[in-house]
Amino acid sequence: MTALLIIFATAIFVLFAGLTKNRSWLQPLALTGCGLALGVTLFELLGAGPGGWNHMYADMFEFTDYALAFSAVALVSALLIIGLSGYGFRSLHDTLGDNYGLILFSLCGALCMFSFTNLTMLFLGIEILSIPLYVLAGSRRNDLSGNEAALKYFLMGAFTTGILLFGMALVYGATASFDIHSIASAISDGRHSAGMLHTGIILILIGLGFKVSAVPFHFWAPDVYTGSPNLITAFMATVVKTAGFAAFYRLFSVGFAPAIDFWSIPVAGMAALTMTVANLTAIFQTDFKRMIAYSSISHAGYLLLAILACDVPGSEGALLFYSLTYSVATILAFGAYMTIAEPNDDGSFEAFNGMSKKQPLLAAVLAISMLSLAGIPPTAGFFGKYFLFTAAFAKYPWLIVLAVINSAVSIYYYFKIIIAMYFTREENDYAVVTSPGIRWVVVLGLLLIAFLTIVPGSVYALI
Amino acid sequence: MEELRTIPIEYYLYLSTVLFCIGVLGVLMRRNAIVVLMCVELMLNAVNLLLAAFSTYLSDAQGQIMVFFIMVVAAAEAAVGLGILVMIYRNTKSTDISLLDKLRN
Repeated sequence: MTALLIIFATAIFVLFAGLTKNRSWLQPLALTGCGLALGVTLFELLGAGPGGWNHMYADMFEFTDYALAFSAVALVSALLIIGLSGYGFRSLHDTLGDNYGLILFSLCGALCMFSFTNLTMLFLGIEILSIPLYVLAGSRRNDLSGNEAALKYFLMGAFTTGILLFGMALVYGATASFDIHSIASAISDGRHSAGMLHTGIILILIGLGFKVSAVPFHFWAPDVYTGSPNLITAFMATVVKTAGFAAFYRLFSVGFAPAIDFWSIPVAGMAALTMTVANLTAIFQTDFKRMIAYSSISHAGYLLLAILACDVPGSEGALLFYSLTYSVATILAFGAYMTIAEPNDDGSFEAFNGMSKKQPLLAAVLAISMLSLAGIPPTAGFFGKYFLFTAAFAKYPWLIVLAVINSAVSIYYYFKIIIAMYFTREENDYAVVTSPGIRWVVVLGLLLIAFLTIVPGSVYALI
Repeated sequence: MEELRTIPIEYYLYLSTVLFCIGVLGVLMRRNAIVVLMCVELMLNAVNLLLAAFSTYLSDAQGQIMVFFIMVVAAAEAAVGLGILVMIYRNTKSTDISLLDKLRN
């Protein structure tokens, strides 16, 4: 709860500070707010111990260890993204304060989504997360692809909200409550009308499927990811995805747990489709951001396994660890990508040719994050997949076999980047423009990946 | 309250389902972004109607409180959406969403 208040206060402060002439202290201010919030969250997480609950607003918020741990993941991602923003936002002048403010407001929505116990709070969290992002996606006002991304994201988001809300209304009609614990007890008591409840669950599933871009509701994601500014894409691929899955997991593992036999079949189908379709499409991409978009869809497929295994102990930890490794690796990849693609206006794989000689550090970072996303041992991504797959193996062996095959397929497209950087003869004369901020973020991210690689259990066992 | 309940709850359910489906079809089929936005509002209002009906029949205020939140969020969303539309109209002189296909390859 403290973290939420700190981020909210910082957001308002940054928004007003953006009106002043001197904009050089906006980024340090945003970083301080996030850093403070992360510190408080980690302190509460480690200090309060298991069961140290934090109820707020007539129990509509419940800052359990689960919520605190996911808040920490989102805050780490936000810190790294804001760290990169000195570079990514360098062409913004008048709207710099608005951009930081909107990112922080969006983060508030993510924190609500980790801690909700009431469907009203979930809905508000999703909207607080999404509405600033519609603006941010179109923050380059004269860029047509940015406009298109903003409109697509907005229309899909508003449409999905409608579907999600209709589902919530039906669940409310069936169980007479918005509280997820009461919903669970109403379902297990049999005090509900089954038709309405099941339709409601399916509609909520579709709504959340859109939000986390699971196949067959993923078609908006590649366009939106490609058209948005690079930093905002990084935010969507990491914080939004983590928030979406944490909320998805919480709702289905607590609220709809007694109906698991009903919803596990469509979720399993969605997971299988998501992994396969996304990986097969990613193979044919030639643009880095589009490839990352499909890669993030395929990771959504793996993360759905955690929801399927929600009654297995350890699946929460697996979801947490996977979200963290995936987020850090994706942000590092975007950091390295921006330095080559933005100054040369070329996002294709060929732009990376010979990068290992021009910028050995950035090339190494990009290579490590690609290896981690592909799940090659001994990187952190391998442990993430290992925890996730072992949690779901007992219930869905066929899905795990499919997931392992898909991971093997994904190596192909992640290695395209590494091959371009290290093993390609043809070179280009592209300049790689970096900044001290990027180097700091890259070193911090590398330390984090190294930490996750050496002691994966420390994060996995947190909750 | 009692006289409100003379109409069976199913009627409200059918009416809001029909309204919701009209909204969904409009979003999927219309090409003018402003009409699409109106259809989204129709979907949200179908939900509001359903929530208010359930709230009355269950004698529980939660549903009506949710309606207020939905109205506030819908207003915020419409403000942002119209802002995006104005931005696009300035660049393309059109609100036709089928013109926006530059990102598909």
